[in-house]
Amino acid sequence: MEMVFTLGIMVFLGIMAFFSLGLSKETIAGDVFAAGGFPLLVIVLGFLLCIILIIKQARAKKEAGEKLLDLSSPAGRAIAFSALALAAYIATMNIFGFILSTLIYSFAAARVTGYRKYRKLVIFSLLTTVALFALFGKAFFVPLPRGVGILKELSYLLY
Amino acid sequence: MDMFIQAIGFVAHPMNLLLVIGGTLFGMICGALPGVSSSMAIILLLPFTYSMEPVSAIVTLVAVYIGGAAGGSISAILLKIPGTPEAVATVFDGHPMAQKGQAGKALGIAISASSFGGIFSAFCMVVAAPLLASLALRFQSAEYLMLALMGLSCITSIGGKDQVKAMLAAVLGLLISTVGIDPINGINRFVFDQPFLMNGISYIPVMIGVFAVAEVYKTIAEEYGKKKAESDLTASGKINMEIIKLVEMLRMWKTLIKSSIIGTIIGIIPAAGGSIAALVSYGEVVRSSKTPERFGKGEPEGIAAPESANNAAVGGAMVPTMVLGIPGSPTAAVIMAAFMIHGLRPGPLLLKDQPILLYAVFIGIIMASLLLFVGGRFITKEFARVLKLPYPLLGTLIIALGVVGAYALQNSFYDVLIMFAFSVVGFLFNHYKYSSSALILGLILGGIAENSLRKQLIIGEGSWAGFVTRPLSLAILILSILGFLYPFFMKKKQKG
Repeated sequence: MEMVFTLGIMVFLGIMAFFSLGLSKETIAGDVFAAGGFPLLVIVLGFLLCIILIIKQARAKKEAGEKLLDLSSPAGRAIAFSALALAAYIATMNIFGFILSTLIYSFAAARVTGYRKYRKLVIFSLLTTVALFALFGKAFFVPLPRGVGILKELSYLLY
Repeated sequence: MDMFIQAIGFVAHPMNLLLVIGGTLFGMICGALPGVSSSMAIILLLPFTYSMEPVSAIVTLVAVYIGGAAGGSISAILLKIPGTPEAVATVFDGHPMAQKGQAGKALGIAISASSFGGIFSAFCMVVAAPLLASLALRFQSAEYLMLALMGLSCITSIGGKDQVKAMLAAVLGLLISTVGIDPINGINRFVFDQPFLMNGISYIPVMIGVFAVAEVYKTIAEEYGKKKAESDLTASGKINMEIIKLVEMLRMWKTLIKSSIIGTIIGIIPAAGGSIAALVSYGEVVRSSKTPERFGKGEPEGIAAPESANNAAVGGAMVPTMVLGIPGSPTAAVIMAAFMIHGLRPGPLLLKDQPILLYAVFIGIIMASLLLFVGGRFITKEFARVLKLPYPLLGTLIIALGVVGAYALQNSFYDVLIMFAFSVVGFLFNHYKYSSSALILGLILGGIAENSLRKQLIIGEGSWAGFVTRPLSLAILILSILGFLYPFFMKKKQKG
């Protein structure tokens, strides 16, 4: 599995090499690297290191090792749900606005990672949302996402 | 001497004293919050200084700068989220030390070292400001490149057991640093028609992703299902910033002095700043250590070096700002704008027109550096309360704070997406034992390395001789090579 990861890095380096080759050549006298030279140099170095790693990994005794993400275990599922909750939080922040999405996220993320005391969870979600909003939105004037439609209109009452 | 006494009298005025205290605390709070940098803290405070006397205003803003540079270490140590770019290298050893149940000690070392660095640079500033400023101008592209290489040279030490993986991680960081508009000839590189990539990939969202969020995933896996899942940091009891005994600090005297010198010099060099100073001094302390294998696992000197350097960079950065009118760091550039708002013209005539200013800033830096101890204890107490939360709640809070921190940096939603993408990278890196620190080193130092390399080649019309014919550049290059190869020699020696 680790070898797959190394191969994945090589694919990434290959894609970057492809685009580096398309960059224009020297435009200023003396600039022997031009725009694509430095990335290419780094990519070549990366390829060499990947090859060394692959040789090492091929030579190493095959061990079962830990699975990257064991979805059959509760802990593995907790990580997956936590990442999904974060993805959903980010995806919906511009729709629901900062306050509502943070409120939902802080409740859902703590729940999927194993917290079950609902009353405390509600208090935690409310406090987290209020604290982050007050600190960043009010004290530091960060223009937090407002959401769309009615939520956007309502957000103007607060910030 | 008269000027010095006048400056003491000026700063010791109750109102000015209050401003310095308030400025330092405000800076520390902002520094401890991810996404709120020292520059942002100064910008936020700037309107409140309009009605102040110019010298009071500048001293207050410098106190904010000092507080911000030190405050970043608090969240770096406790949450693995560097509050400011200057605290990047503090994460490498600060958080592992906290995980060993020594969070209070780690914080104590960070604050003491910050204080030392600040005071050291203030003395350098007042004794030799004009001389240092002229020396800084001798730093050219070749030396900048060597500085970047020196910072990168420690990857073999912090990379843990597998140095090839550490180097590969650094290479990936270097490659990611090339995304955006090429600064030499303005060509878009790896932008894929996405305007948000034109400015490049900012390293703060990347760091929040690979360090903080990935760490939360890892801890969730370890703590899930435990009856009372509390953070490792509080498992050993209360977190209180320890006051480090003088004897203990004296044991690190070499590291403190060396890092403060590096910090002051890099601070003076225009546009380098505290984060570069912290990384280079970290690289140097690893290189010169007899036990480089301990770094990255909670070594006290790994905290003292970057923290003394990043605070020393504050005093250093003020030298060219005041004497030459060239800001030594991005934050110093904001302070320079404050000079102009208050009718002061930074440059050679400033010290002639405002002779008290240099001494007032000097005393302000010393006072703010001493006040870090008070602020550190206060802020740590507040942070410690949060750390007592059960891990599912703490982890959620860290991620939410990371999201807002990444967003607040440039008010850009794309930074949040970058943070998320790199949280996955960080998770994979943790699983396959790649060094996230090496990735960050590559990302931060990549820009300065490429620009300096190409600029020097342009100056030398394509010739590489400039890198080795300039004595300073050659000296730093030799140190970097030694630092890079040292862990390999040590490994061979141990095997032999």
